[in-house]
Amino acid sequence: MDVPVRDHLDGLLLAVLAAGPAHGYAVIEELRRRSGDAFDLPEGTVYPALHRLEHAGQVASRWATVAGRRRRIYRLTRKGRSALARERREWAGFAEAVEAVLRA
Amino acid sequence: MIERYLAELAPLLPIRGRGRRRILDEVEDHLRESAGALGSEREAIRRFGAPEVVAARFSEAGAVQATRWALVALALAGAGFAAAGIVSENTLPPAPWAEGETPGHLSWKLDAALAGFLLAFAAGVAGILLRRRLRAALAAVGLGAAALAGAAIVGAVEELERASLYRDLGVAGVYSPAETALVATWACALALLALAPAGLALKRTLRAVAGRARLG
Repeated sequence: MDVPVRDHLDGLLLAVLAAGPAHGYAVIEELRRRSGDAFDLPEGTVYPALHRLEHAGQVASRWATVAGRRRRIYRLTRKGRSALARERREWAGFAEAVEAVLRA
Repeated sequence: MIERYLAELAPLLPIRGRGRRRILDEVEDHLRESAGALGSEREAIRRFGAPEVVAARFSEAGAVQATRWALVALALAGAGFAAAGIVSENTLPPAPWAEGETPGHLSWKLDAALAGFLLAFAAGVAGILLRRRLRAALAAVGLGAAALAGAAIVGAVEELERASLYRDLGVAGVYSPAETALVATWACALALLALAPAGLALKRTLRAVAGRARLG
């Protein structure tokens, strides 16, 4: 499922971060948990996507020390919430259209 | 094993300095946490992906970022130069010829420079609107950069020729030759500054394309 997931990775990451700030590993674990292990995506490709979202102003990040470990924590920005709402609308429209065709 | 992975990834990353250090720190933190959870560094690295794959994705992300900066720079430069041209045209000493009778060799250069600056501005704005489509945004960078470079050169030549002609015709209040050359040089330097992000965007994109090609 590598290609379809990549096409929607930004929206998926924004959706995970909508639940609260998290570091990269936690984001990936949550993505895996919510998808029921359906996405076979190299974990390392999530970080470039997070950096891209940060440059686009949709997420912000800062270093924090958690349990003695220095970690980069990501959080959703207001712009990110708008982008997530847009992604959800677009996906709902797309899914509805595919459903209509497949069930016809 | 994690150290070896980081050593392989580092030179493949498209950025240097603090940006590279940040990526490597994040990757190391991830791999150590993952290895702790899985009980195997080898498995953590397998799940993370080959260094070439991860670096190629960072190159793509870098190309997108550089393209955005280039588009903003082109839009600002195009608008700034066009505005400066319009202001300069209206603050020069009165032309020693009737309106609409500007010598042809000045007239076409002025029109071409203004059109070029406006085209760079339009390409920058269009690219920003199309930023989610990298190829379209890159095409806008290329078009805007070419328009800006051409307009800066033609505009500078026009200014130099106009100043020379004004002096020959004895028009008062014109810049000295040295001042005119300085203004023209400054205009070209500003254009080059605006073109630098465009060059960086194209370089980063070529690197991203090469990284993708290496992966097959």
